[in-house]
Amino acid sequence: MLEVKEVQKRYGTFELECSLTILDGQITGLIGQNGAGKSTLFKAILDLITLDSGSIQIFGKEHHELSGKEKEKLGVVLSDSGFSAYLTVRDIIAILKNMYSNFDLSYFQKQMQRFQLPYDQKIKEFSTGMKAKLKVLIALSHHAKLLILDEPTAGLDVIARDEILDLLRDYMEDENDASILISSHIAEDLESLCDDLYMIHEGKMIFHEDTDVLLSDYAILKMSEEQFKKLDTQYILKACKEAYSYACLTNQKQYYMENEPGITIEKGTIDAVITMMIRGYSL
Amino acid sequence: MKGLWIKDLKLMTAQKYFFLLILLIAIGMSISAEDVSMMTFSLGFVPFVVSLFGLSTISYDEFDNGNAFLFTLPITRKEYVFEKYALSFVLAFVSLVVMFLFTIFMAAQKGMLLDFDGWMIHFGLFALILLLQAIMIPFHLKFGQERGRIAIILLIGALLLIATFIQKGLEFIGIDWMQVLQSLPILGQQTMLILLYGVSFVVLIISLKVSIQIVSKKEF
Repeated sequence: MLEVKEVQKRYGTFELECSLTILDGQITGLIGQNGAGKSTLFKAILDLITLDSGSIQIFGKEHHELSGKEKEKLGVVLSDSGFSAYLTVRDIIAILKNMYSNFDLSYFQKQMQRFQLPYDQKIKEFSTGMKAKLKVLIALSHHAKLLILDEPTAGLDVIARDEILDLLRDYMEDENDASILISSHIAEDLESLCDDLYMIHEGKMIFHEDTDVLLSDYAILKMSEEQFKKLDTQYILKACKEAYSYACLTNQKQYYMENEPGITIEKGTIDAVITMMIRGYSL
Repeated sequence: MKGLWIKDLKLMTAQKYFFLLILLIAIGMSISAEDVSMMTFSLGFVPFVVSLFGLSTISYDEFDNGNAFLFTLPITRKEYVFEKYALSFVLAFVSLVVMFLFTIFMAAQKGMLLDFDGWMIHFGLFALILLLQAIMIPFHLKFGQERGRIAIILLIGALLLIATFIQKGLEFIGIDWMQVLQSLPILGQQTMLILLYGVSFVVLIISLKVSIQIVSKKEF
């Protein structure tokens, strides 16, 4: 569906340097801190910036060669951009009808009612939550095969975030072979939604794993200095010295549960894994 | 492409009160005009202003980084540029035809007839609007509304400076440029009009190519 191969893009001191693959029917999450390079990667995929090197293929074709018809199969949410704020939803419906041959008016109207969005109010008068819901709704309104969603839940409260995530789950149920690339800096959102996860830090992919594997096999091991010195480190990915102890990240939780009964083993949440991947050092 | 037209028409309707105000001023001026040439002049500026509405849609697109999302829609950058030129052309043409018919109507109300000069002014005006748009659109696309205006002022300043240098240079080598100008054959109105359309057309084609290059290379 989407393949990003060794893409490089330099902005002053910041350099994006990464690869990524999205398979058919999968939801892939991209997580990283603010300024990690998530939006730059999205813009590179969408041909909004030129690449210094590398290539990006969407639907098996170079991303900059997509025709208007092929772009109809994309549904996009950008964190810092959208339809002009001087338009109303009614205006946007008229535009979408004439932009997308597959525009689904009844779906759009149904979701408008679900989210109680007004038709004749200018978007600039919408609240942050209303704007976010509308952006997602626009991306989902034309049966796109690939959804590229950059921070669709940013700045929203828990209820609004859940509503958007539910909308995406419903979409994946209805559109069997569709795929989603979604970014967020809120791990919880991605944990419950994504099939696999990429972590980006300072422009580079530092981690890629299936969400199920991450949640079942990854763990944070907490121990004293003595225990750390004796630890079997063959399955330790990163280690980190804390105030009075050591923390280690492993992808073989079961192994340490069986062989290191004296140490504390905590569940490997996405946040914990990110922290260890960024702050920890390799052994 | 049709979606882009709808978008721009919707954006322009957001400025409908400003447009109506321009129209009322033009009608008011034409009612108080005492002869046909005054009437032609008072109505002539409406197509100018209306074609600027087309240009304003570029600013609306750029507002709040809107271009980034716009180019993820099923359009190509080339289509976007074509649409902007076509929109400016259509706006200028339609408003010119409407105002032309209105001038004839208003003149008839006052028992006057639109003479040959009046026709020529309207036709010439259209070419001038196209020329103006051909110069302004690439500047707007490259620099945006505010910086685009400054860039055009700088361009005019630079052209005036070059003209002054040429004039001084000619004076230095002993050529009187006023005499040279006066010795040129006087062109008829029709020839001037054809020349004006020719220049506008060439500038428009160059402008279109430059604009496509600008938008193709732009990063959002």
